[in-house]
Amino acid sequence: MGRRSSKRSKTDLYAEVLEVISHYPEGARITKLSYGVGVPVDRLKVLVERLCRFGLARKAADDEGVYYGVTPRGLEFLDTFWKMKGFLEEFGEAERY
Amino acid sequence: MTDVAVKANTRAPLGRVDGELRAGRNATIEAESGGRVVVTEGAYFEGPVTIDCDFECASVRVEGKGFGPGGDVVIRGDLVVHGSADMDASVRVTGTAKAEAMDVGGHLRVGGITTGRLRVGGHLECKGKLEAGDVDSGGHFTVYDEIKVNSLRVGGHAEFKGGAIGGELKVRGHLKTEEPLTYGQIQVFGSIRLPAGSSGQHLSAIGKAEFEGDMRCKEIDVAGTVIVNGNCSSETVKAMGKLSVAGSLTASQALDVLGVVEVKQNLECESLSVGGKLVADSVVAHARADIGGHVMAAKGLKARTVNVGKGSRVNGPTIGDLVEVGKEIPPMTVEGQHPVSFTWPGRMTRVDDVYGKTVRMGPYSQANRVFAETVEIENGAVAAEITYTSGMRLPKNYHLQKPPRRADHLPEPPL
Repeated sequence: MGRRSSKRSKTDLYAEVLEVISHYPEGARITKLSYGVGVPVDRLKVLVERLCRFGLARKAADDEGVYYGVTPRGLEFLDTFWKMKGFLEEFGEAERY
Repeated sequence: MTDVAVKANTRAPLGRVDGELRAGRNATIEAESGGRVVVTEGAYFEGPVTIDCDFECASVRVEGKGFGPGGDVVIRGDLVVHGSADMDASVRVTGTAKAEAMDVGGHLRVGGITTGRLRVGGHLECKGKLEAGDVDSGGHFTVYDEIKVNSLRVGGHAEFKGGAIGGELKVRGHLKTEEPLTYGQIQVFGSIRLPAGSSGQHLSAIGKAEFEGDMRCKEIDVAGTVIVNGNCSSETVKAMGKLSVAGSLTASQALDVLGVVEVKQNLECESLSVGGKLVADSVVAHARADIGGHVMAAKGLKARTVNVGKGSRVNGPTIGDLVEVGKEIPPMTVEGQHPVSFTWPGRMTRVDDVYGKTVRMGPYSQANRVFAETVEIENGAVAAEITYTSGMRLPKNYHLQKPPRRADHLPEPPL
């Protein structure tokens, strides 16, 4: 999801994957997600499967293929993650002064 | 009706297609004449495609199936889609794009865009104006001109010239505009920087929000830091983090402080509730002020009813019809959270000069000078001087530096 000034942590990466998934409430195929996240399909599949195992993302299949969506727990994780990131940035600001 | 198929890795000059257009991977489409290809029905692309001219169609679909990032759709001209555009690819349109709805899986770079609904999985970069209904960007959102949208949700950072957002603006990262922004509700998790004259309905910031001049908003809810380099006016202000105003702060209804509020000039509100620290030149609450923390007001704190809770401090004169010092104040509640008590047991309540019709000094509270029509003192209260006109009630255990004095007139309060 880009313009990275420093290496993304694992949690950052999971959050970014989940963030892109969350923009598709009706579910999205892995190809579409891979364009959004900027990670190759094979690598992204591993990440998304892990998110599904954590209960943060869900997987549904039909004749057309496999679709991934975000779960309520995933949305809660995202809100908490971004809130925490906001707080940590605040602390970073405070330390500078 | 004649459908047209373009093979993969080939170049096809086309004019008007009365039917559908299907193109294989890495096909290049160019205009036979007139600089435009018109497809009366849908256009389907298996993967990357280059269109070397303006392109118009009823709908467009880019499959990109199984190939992953790297496949781009490049349109060297304007794109007009009468229906919806669903593109599992990164898309670059050198001209403007028009569509009923647009869904781009990867990044979108476009000269300008007008669409009903716009969703971009990756970053969105627009050189011209962006006009859309609901916009959803998974990555960063950069528009070099103004935007006019109903709602905007950005997974990364958002940066644009200015404009209007009728509904909700939700940014996970940072938000920055060069020109004033009119908004409905803003929710920012990172930082936000808006120029003077920006106005809206509701502002909620978890990170840092900075306004380069005067700002107007109906509701301000700050969990992080808000810096206003001008005057700030709102109906309600809730500050759980830090709110710093270089000019004056006006809250036509309630101001709830659980963090720190610093106002260089004057603060005026209907009701005031402090559970943290409030610093201002003067503080005027038209109805009541409940102080459960520390107020520093050089020119004074004024309200019809002032309640300075147990263990709290007020530096500067306190003025009110009824001033109660050292009483219990009810715990403050924040939406969805547990009530927070701002009473410090065992700590003395301290105020400077007090001006009021009725002043009640609770146990273990200390005041400098007290000027009131009626003064009631409880056990353990301390005052430097008491001047009253009507009545005085003293307990067994109190301490006054001078004996209380009855006067015909009280001095004018400083505020």
